[in-house]
Amino acid sequence: MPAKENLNRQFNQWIDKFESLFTNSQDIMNLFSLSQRKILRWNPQAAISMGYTREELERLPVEELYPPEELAKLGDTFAILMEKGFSEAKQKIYNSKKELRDIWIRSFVIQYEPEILCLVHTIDITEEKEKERQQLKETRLAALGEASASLAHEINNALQGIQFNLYLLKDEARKALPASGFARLDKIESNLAHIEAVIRNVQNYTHVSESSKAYTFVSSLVDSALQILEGYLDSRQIEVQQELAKNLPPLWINGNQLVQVLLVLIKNAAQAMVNTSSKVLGISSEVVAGELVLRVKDSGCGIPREAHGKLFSSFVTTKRAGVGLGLGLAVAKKLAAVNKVSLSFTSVVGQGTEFSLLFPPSLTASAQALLVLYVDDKESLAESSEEALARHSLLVIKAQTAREALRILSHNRVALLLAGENMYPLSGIDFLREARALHQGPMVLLREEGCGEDEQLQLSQGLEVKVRSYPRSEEAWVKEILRCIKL
Amino acid sequence: MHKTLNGTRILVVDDSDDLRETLAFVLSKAGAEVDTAADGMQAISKAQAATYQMIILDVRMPGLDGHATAERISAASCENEKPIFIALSGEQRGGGEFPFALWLHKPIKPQTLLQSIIAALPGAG
Repeated sequence: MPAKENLNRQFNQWIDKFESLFTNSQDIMNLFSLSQRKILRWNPQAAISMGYTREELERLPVEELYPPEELAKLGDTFAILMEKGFSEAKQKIYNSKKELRDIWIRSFVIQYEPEILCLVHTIDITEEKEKERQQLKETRLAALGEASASLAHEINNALQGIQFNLYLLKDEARKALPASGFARLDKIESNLAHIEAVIRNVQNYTHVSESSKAYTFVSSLVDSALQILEGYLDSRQIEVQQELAKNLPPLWINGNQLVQVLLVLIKNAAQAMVNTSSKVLGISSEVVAGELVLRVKDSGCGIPREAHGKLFSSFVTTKRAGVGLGLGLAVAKKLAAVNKVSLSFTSVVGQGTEFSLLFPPSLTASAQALLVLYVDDKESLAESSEEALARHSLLVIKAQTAREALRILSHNRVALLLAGENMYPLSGIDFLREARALHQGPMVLLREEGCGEDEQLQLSQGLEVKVRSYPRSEEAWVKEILRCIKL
Repeated sequence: MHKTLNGTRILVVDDSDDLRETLAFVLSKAGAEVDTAADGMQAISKAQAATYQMIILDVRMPGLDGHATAERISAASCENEKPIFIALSGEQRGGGEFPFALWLHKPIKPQTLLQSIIAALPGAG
């Protein structure tokens, strides 16, 4: 009958179409027998996508493909397929390197008799999933930043209340308390200063949304990161060994972001050493072939070779949810990249891992530039004045605390030292006194209220300091600094 | 001759009752005559009713913040009677903006606070 022939021809055409689709598809496809619970055929793309040869893939049992928790779900998928003739799910599957891939899998029943056959169409969505996860992570990070900013504000308010009351209490206690009791009040005060420093660091750390770059020394980055993690490293009995080269040029980077990168590297290093007998964290810097390199090295368990490829791209973590800051190496790599810094590593299982941050020459300040270190806990120097000073080959490095500045001076030579008078906990004068051992050039103390044109302060024998009022305008800043540097 | 706060009229504006009262106490112990306001609007009406040589404002306050409050008071007062505005801020950022003569970051040591605001007062040092 012509009608039947027609139907047969149509059916054969359809089979041909199906065959060509199956063979030529860029997605993974297979023909699955629901009756036998067995994959009958894979398409050529499947072997390519999953990294097997065709023969390997044909022989591979299903249990090798899926992680156990996914295998457990297969029963449900089969039940749905039987009932509805169609199923759709997001699953995880191993490739030949035993890497987990995210897949979107759709199955259609294409034949019921004599056995139930399904066409299974699979799309690898690992990259999309990764992007999604990263976005979620970034959103969470931003939220964390916002939350901690207002948290820091609240804590600072409370700290202020404690300080006022402590001040009043000390005044009253002077008459009433024995010396030992008074000493306890001093201890409370120094503990307060510690909390304050921690909060200041958290504020600096979460203050990443503003992508402000400034000339920063590598030693300052290391200092900030280690200060934040001091307790963390201490409690894990980790010995920190620093070998920072002296007089490295400052770098044009976003310091907050690079500190974040260091935090991730140092925490990872610490975690790699949890179960090792040797717990040495090495931080070193040097210039290699014109590029500044900062290395973070641990004596930990090392990273297995299989994990090397996905270290930066996926959120491979040994941390439990909610533990730590939740910053992965992927974020670290990205933050480094935003600053044109490259992040790489070498690792030997059983010996340890070394991460290297490579700062290209384009980020380093010219060797001819004169450095001005400005230490103050408030920001009085506008960016535009810095730009104007840069035209005179003067680079301004800012430090927010005396401690930070002393650390900078111990590693770097600067031409001029400017310090705000009312810094806390170490005042400007006390700071300059300590700084003299590290800095031989001119020193200037900036005072809130006006002072004489050429006022000098004799702090001690041979320690003279110029006293200036805070310049009121950009122009005045530039003029003042130029004048002081010629002293 | 060192300057002191003796007799200086100061208005302290902070939404935290505790901070406001303790700061007022610290200042009055140092010799200042202190009034307080719990928010921006209260500060504006107090500044209209009396003259202050100095107004210390918390920067972050609900409603009118410290900055807006200081600007309004500054705009409303005569040129030769403008108070000195001091900002007390819990943020890391900020500093030096008009009309603040001084930008202090919380937490600040009371000794440092007193030294700083005394230094900000006009007159021979």
